[in-house]
Amino acid sequence: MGTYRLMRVNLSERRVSQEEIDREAILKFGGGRGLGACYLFNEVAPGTDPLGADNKVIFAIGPLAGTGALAASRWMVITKSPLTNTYFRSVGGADFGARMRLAGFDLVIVEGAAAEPVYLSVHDGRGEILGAGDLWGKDTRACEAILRERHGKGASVACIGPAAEKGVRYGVVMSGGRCAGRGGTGTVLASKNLKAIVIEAEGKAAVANPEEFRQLVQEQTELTKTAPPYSRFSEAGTTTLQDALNVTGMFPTRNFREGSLDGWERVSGSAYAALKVKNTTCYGCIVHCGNIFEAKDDPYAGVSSEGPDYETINMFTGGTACTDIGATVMADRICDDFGLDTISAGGAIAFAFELFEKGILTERDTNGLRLEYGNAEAMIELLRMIAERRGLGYVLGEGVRRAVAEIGKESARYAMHIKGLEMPAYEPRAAKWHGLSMVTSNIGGSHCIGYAYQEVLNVPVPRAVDRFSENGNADVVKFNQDSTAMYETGILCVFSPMLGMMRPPLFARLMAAATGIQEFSDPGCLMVMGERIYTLERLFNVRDGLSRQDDAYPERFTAEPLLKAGPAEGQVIRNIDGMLDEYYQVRGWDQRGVPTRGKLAELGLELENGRLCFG
Amino acid sequence: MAGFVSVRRKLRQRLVEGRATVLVTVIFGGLMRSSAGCAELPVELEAGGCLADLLAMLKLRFEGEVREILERVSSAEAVGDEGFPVFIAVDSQDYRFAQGLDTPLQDGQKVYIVVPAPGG
Repeated sequence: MGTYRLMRVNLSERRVSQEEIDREAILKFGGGRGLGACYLFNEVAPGTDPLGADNKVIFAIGPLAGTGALAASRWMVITKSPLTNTYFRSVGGADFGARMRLAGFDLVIVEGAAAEPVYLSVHDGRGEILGAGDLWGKDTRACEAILRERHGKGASVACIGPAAEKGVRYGVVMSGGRCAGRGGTGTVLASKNLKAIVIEAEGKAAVANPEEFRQLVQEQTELTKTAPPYSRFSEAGTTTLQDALNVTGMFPTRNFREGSLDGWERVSGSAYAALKVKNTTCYGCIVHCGNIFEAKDDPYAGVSSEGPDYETINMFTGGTACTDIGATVMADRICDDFGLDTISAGGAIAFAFELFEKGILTERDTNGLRLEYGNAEAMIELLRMIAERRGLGYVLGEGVRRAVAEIGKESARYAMHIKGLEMPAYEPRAAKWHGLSMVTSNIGGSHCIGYAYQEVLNVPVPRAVDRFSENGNADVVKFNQDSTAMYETGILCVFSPMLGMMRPPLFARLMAAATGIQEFSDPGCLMVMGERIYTLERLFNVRDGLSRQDDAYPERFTAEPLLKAGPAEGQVIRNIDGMLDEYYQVRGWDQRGVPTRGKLAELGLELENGRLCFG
Repeated sequence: MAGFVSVRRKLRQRLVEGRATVLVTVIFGGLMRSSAGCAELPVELEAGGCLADLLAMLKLRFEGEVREILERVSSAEAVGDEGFPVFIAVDSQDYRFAQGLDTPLQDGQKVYIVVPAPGG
């Protein structure tokens, strides 16, 4: 591999330039999420308004993108989130990451703001800012189709939808039916008047040691195909997880009051299998875990969508106690077309349903909608109101934390978020260390930042974890968070290691063979890199004033016993303070949750005038 | 529901016969449920029986994939095998943190056997 390069796109000045990436930054941060975090830290000052021109959006890929390594062509958007006001990273699939590599860029940094709608066209190794007046207002599907028609069928498009344009704080960046879905990354692009990025690039990416790399990919292919979950996951993707979590009590229901949904069999894995049209896959992946579903029954018969996946299934069933499978396909389609995060949208709707039940919202507030549990039509209409920013939908489009300020203080206890990010489809009282990962997450309530497969999937790596215990497992949380950060230097799909399709030594050798950087062949060195990245992200937030008090659950989890939860019945998180103390200690942070000077020095995170220094 | 009716019937029968047995309800989840073809199953064991005894009885009852999974779980070194996770709990207690396969079973307990597929 030659040099790492970045494209810098200054929208205020309509200027595109290119830079080499500092070699020391590469050695410290590897690529992908690491380099993105490094640049964001150095270039976005504390106190920056996420929707102001001073915020930046960084598109990042890893050294494995476009190379033929499996499940490693993912792309990431790194920015300061308008939903959480924190550091944020969100990952997307399909082929955009591979095209970025083939175009020759590891990072694309978007800064400033355009005076009118524009898009970025990348071709022949350069970037061009073009007018997007005709694209503004188009849904993501139409926008992608127009730009492919204009730039060639082989072009890859990442774009935002009307929801982000209208300022919904959880707008996504869509590409090829997949999205960087969380935290409002699309909304930040909208604030800059950037509708899309189109990349035209063909071929296969070069690697430093082609023969060794080819053998390693063969090894990875073998490992993937022989992993026990391979065939089932290839067939169904994530759409069977609800079958297990409804029995283990981890399936959030009625806005996190209950741990299983009555009638969940109507939205089980086999129910989705009956709607399946075909599988879809990301670039360079043989697992093809994506699904296109088509609803069969009225009123949604004929509606198709790529998805829903597990998260979306939960959000549009558990949260509202609806078991209309067609409605979940419809909801997924609306979110994709308008460019909305299904988790935040679903969380906001579950919040509204509970407020309606409690009488805090009435039909006067909902434009006549009766937000009663099981009312799928009301759920779909409320989703449209969010996407189009109408009535109550306007308020919910701000995210539940901000909606509380509008609706009234009594609604606060029903706002299920961490640091402003609506919670994903895992009940923390039924998987308490998964919960600790979410509550301490640098991006708020995310399941992907340190997925506790030890609890959710029962995989005993690095060791088995008692999911109801409240002490002694903070090291596993750290392991999950750091190893995720490590793999996201790649940027490897989160499922790959989780399903036994990747191991740290193989990942390390792939990274070294791709880049020619021998230091990367040591998995221990890469794990430290993961910790370095995670700590730097924390430092970004600390610099903005976040601390222990922000590592906080909604009151429900520490005060209300979990209901209808099978083996998790009655669980409450009683010792969150003790769990946090243990976690900070394991991390080498002080009891305010601030990384100590000693830890920063150990990780090579020396700052000079508030910036990371190299060389 | 059929499972609960059956449990009550067996309990009555056991009282009449005065036998020293316990009745537990096995609850299948995830891929285990579709493979087993049922959600719940009442199982009668000799009093003093443990989880290993229950799994042995289930292995006699099922064939194919379910038996394969149970075989793996029954082999102590494969408990919670990486890449082939099986969640087993006796009421709220994960058996790995109780007495493993020697976890004793009491009358009326629920035994959860769940094979999850990953989410996202």
